[in-house]
Amino acid sequence: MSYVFNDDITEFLENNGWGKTTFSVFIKAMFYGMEYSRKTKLLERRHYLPWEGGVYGGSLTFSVDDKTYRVERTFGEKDKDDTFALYDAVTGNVSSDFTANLGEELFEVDRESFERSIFIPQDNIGLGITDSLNAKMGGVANVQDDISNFENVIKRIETATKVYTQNSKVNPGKIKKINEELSVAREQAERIPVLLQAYETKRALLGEKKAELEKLDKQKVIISQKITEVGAREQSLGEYRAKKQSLEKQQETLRGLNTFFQKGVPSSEDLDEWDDRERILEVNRSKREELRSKQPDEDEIEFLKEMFEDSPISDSQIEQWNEQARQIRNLRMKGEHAQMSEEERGNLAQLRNFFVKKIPGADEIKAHLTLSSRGKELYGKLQTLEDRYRALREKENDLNPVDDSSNRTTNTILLTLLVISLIVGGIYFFTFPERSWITIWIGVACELSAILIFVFGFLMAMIRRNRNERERAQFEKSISEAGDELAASRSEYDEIHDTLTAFLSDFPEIDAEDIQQKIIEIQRKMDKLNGLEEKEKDYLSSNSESMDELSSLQLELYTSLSHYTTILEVNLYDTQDEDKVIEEIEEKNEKYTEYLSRKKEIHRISGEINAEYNGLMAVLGSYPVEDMDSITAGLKEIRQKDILYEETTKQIHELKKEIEEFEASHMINKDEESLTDLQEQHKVIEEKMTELRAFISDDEKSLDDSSREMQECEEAADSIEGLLESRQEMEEKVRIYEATIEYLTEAKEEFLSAYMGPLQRSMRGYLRKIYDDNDAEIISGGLSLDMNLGIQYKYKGITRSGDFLSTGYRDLVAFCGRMALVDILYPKQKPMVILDDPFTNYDEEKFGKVKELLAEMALSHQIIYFTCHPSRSIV
Amino acid sequence: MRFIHCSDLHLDSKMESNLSNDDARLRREELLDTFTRMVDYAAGNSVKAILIAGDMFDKPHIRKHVKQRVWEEINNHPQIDFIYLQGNHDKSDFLDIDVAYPDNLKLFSEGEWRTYTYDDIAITGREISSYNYKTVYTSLVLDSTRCNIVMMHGQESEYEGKDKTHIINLQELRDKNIDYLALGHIHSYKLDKLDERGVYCYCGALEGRGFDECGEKGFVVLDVVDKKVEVTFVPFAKRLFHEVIIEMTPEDDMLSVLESIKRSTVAFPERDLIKVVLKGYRSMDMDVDLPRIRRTFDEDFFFLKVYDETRVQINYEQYANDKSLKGEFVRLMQKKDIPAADRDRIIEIGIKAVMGEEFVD
Repeated sequence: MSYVFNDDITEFLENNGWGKTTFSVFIKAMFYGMEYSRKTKLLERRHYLPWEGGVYGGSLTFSVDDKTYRVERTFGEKDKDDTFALYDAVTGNVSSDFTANLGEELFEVDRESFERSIFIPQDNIGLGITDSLNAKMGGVANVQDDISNFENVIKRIETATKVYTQNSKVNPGKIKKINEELSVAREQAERIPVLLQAYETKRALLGEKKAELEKLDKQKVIISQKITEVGAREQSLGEYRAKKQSLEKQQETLRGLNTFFQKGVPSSEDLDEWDDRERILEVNRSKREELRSKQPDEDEIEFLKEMFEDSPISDSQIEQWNEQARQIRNLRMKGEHAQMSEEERGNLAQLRNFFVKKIPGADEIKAHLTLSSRGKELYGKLQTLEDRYRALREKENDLNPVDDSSNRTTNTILLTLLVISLIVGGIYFFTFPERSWITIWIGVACELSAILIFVFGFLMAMIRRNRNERERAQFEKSISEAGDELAASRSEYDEIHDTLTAFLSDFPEIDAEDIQQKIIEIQRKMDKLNGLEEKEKDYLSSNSESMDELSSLQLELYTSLSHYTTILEVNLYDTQDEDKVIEEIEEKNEKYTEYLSRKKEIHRISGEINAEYNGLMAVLGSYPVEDMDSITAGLKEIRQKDILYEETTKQIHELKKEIEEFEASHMINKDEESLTDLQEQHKVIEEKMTELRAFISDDEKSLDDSSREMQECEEAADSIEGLLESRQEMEEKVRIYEATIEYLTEAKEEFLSAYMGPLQRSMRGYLRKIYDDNDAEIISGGLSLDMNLGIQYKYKGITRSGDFLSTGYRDLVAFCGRMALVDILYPKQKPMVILDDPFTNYDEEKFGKVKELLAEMALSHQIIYFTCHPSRSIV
Repeated sequence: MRFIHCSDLHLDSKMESNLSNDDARLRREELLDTFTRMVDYAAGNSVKAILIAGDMFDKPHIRKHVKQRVWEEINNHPQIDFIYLQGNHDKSDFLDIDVAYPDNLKLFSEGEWRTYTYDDIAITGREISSYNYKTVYTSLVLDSTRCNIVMMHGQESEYEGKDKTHIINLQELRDKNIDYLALGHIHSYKLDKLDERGVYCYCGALEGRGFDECGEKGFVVLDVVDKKVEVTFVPFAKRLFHEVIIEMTPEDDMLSVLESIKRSTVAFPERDLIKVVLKGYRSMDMDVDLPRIRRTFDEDFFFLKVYDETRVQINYEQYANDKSLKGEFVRLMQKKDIPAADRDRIIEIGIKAVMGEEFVD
C-alpha cells in the first residue's frame, strides 16, 4: 500500500475502522523504529507482527531542509532482527546523514513524546488536553504528570526526610531516637571516670584493711606463743586447782546424801530384799491384768448370768440333749427315705392343679370321646355335602338358556332369511321376462322349498322347548334335596361342637391337634392322677408310726431347751436345728464356767498385791524420794544414792590425800600475766580479725559490683561509636533528601521557564488568528494555561477556571493550546499532525474558523486529517 | 626447650565490631576460653614457659570471675612459668591479691632489666615508661654465650617517635646479642630479621576483636635447640574476622548479588564473623535489599554485617531529549558541580520520587 502526502493538508475521507492508529504507528516506527524490551516484549511489536511470521515494515520519504530522504525499515520478533536503511531520495545512494535514531535526531523528542503529541483524538479536544490523567496524551501528559505531580513528589521526599528528622514526642524521628540513645550512652560514659575514681578509693581502703589484718595476724601469733609458754607452766597448778574444786563439789554432794539417808543408810541385803518384793508385786499385777483381760465384757457377763441363772449346766444334761437330738435326726432320715420321689410329688401337684375345677368320671370321658368321633365324621360329611351342593349350583348356572336362546334366534333368523329368499326367488322366476317351463319349475321349487323349511323349523323348535323344561324341573329337585341334607348335618355338627367345647372349658388349655386329641389327653392325665394318688396313699399309711415317735421326742427336747432357745431367740419348731442350738448352749456354758473360775483367782491375787504394796510403801516413806507414786522409781533412787554415797566418800578421801601431798610439795603464788588474761587478749584479737575479714569481704564484693557497673558503662560507651556512625548515615540521607528537593525545585523552575512561557505566547498567537483581536481583553492576556495545561483566564483581575467559558470557546482555546504544545515540543523540524476527526461537534461558525486556522498552519505544518463525514471536509 | 610467645590478649575487654551486647559478652568469654586453651596446649606440649608480651588486660577493673580464672590457670599449672611483661594497657588490679604470688609467675619492672634463665637460655625484659625510655636500651647488656630472648611491648620503629613510651627503637636493639625479640603491641603476626644474629617477632593477638583485625590470630611456639630459636606461628583463634568486597555492575540483580556473596563467603566457617561491603555501580531499577542479604546469610555465620556503598549508574543520554521535569532534573544535575556519589544518589531519589517508586532505604 502506498500513500503520497501533500505538503500542506492531506485529507482522508474514510469510514471508522479504516486504520488511523495503524497509520500513526507506521509513521512513528519509520522515524523511531519499533520499540523492544527484553523484559516486557512490548505488545505493539507483537501486535503488528504478521500471523504467519517473518518480517514486516515499509518505507517513508521525507524532506529535511532542502534534502529528501527515503527511510526503509523492517521488523522482526526482536530488535536484532530489525533492519534500517536511509537513502538519498534524489540520487538513490545510501545516506549517512542520520542514524537509526532518526526520530530523536530530527525532532529532538523521544519516541513516546512523538507518538502521543502528533495524534489529536476525536473526543473532546479540550478534555483531551486538560485531563492530566489521560494516558493517550502521552508525552504531553508526561509533561503534565510530573509537573502537576510535583507537589506530591516533594511531599514524598519530605515524608521520607521526616522519618529521620521528626521531632515529635509521640512519634519521634530516627535521628531523635538515636540522639536519645546517644544521650543515655554518653551519660553512662561520663560516669566512667567518677566510677573509676571511686573504684580506686575503695581499692586503697581495701588495701589499708588488708594491712591492718596482717598486723593483727602478727599480734595474734605473738600472743599465741605466750599462751603456749604460760600454759606449760600453769599446767600443774591448774591440776591442783581443779582437784580443790572437785573436793568442794564432792563434799557438797555428800552433805546432800547425808540428809537423804537421815534415818540410816540401808544395807545391800535390805536393798536386794526390797527389789525382790517389788518384782513379786509386779508379777502379781501382771497376772491379774492378764486374767482381767480374758474376762468377757459386762454385757456378755449379764447375758451369761441370765442364761444360766448363776449355775452352769452339768455335762450329763448336755450329753442327754445330744442323745435326744441324735434320735430325732435318725427318725427324720428314716421318714425322708419312705416318701415319694420329688418328681412324683411335683407331677401329682401339677395334675391336681389341672383337675382343680372338675374331676371327670371315666364314663363321662368315654361319652365325650364318642361325641368327638361323631363330630369328626360329620365334619368330613359336611365337606362332601358342601362340595356337592356347590357343584349343583354351578351346574344350574350352566343350564342358563341365554346362549342357547341366542343360537336359536340366529337359526330362526337364518331360516327366515332362507325362506324369504326362496319366496323372492320363486317370485322372480315366475315374473322372469323370458319365462319358460324351466323358470316356472324353478320358481315352484323355490316356493315349495320355502314352505318345507318353514314347517321343519317350527317343529324342531317345539321339540327342543319341551325337552328343556323337563330337564330343569328334575335338576331343581336334586338341588333342594342336597341343601336339606347339608343343613341337617351342619345342625348336628354344631350341637356336638358346643357340647365338647363346654366340657373342655373346665380344664386348662391343652396343646393338641383337635378336640378329640384334647379329650384323649384329659383321659391320659386322669389315669396318671389316679395312679399317683394311689401311690401317695400307700406311703402315708407306712410312715405313721415313725412320725409319732419323732413328734414325741421333739416335744420332750424342745420343752427342755425352751428356756435357752427363748434367750437365744431361736424357734426350733421352725428351724428344727437342735444340734446347733445345743452346741451354742454348750459353748456359752463353757465360757460361763471359765468366767467364774477367773473371777475367783483375781480376787485371790488382789489380796496378795495389797499386802505387798503396803509393805513397800512403808519402806519408801523412810526416805525423801522424789517420786512416791512409783515404787520402782523410789527403790531405784534409793539404790543409786546408796552407790553415790559410797563412791563420794571414797573420792573425798582420795582428793584430800592428793591435795595435802601437792600443798606440801609446791609453792603456790606467782605474780605474772595469767593464762586467762592472755587467752582473753587472743580472743579480742580474733574477734577484731573476724570483724575485719567481714569488712574486707564486703569491700571486695563492693569492688566487684563497681567493676560490673563500670562494665555496663563501658558497654554503653562502646555503643557510642556505632550510634554516631548510624546517626551520620541518617544525617547523610537527610542531606541527600534535602538536596534532592532543592534540585527538583530548581529543575521545575527551569522547566517552566523553558516551556510554559513560549507555550502561552504560541497559544495566544493561534487565538489571535481565530479572533482577529475582536476580544482584546481575553486574547491580550486574559487567557492562559495553568501548570496542568488547563485553561484559565483573568477577568477583571480574578483568575477563573476554563470551566467558566462556553464549551465551544473552551474547545477552541484547547485546540490552540494543543497546537502551541506541538510548536514548543518540536522547535526545529515540524512533524506531521494527525487529526482524527476532532471537529465533529463544532458548529459551522467555529468549524469555519478552525478551517481558516488549519489553512494557516498548513503553511508550516504537514497536516494529515481523517474524517468520516463530507460536511467536516477541510479541503 | 619449648616456649610460647603470646601478647595482646586483652582479656575482658570491649569488642570493636558492633556486636550485640549478648554476642559481645560471649566474645569476651571466648577470649578467656582461648587463653585457657592456650595454657592447655602448653601443658600438653611440654612448654616450659609462656611469655606474655604485654596487654594481657586493658583496663583497671577486671571482673572477679575473670581474675579468678586466670589465677586458676597459673596456680593449676605449676610446671609452666608465666613470664608476664605488662604493656601500655596493663593497668589493672589483677595483681592485687591477698596471698603471695605463686612461684611460676615471673614479672618484670620499669626500673631495671630482669632476667630469668632456663639452662643456657636467658629471658630478659623490661617495661617501658616515661621514666626509662631514654636509658632503657643503653642499660641492656646480654651474655653473648647464652641464647637471649628479650621481651618488650611497643610499636616497632627505626627511629625515635613522638610518643616515646610506646616505641620500640629497633636501631637501638641491634647488635645486643638478641636471638629472639618477643614483642607485643601489634595485633597481627610479623616475623622479621633484627640483625645478623636475631629476629624480632610480633605474635599478634590471640583473638581478633573487630573487622580491623581480620586474618589468622594465635601465638608463636619457640623451640630452642642448641641456642638456636625455631619459630612457628600457631593459628589458635576460635573465630576469625573476614571482610568481603563485592563489586557490582549495572547488570546485577539481587539474585546475582546473593550468588556473589555466597561464592565469596562459602569457604568461611560458620563460626566466623563476616563483613560484606557492596561497591561498584548498579542500575536505577536495582534496589539493594540489605535486610534480604542479612536474612539469607545471618544463619550461616556467627555475625554478619553488610554495607551498601554502591552507586547508581546514570545514563545521561537517555534523558537528553526527555521533555519533562524528569529530563530537566537529570540535565540540571549533570551540570552541577557536586561529588559524583551525591549526584548519583540525588538523581536516583529524584527520579524514583517523580515516578512514584519506592526510594526510602
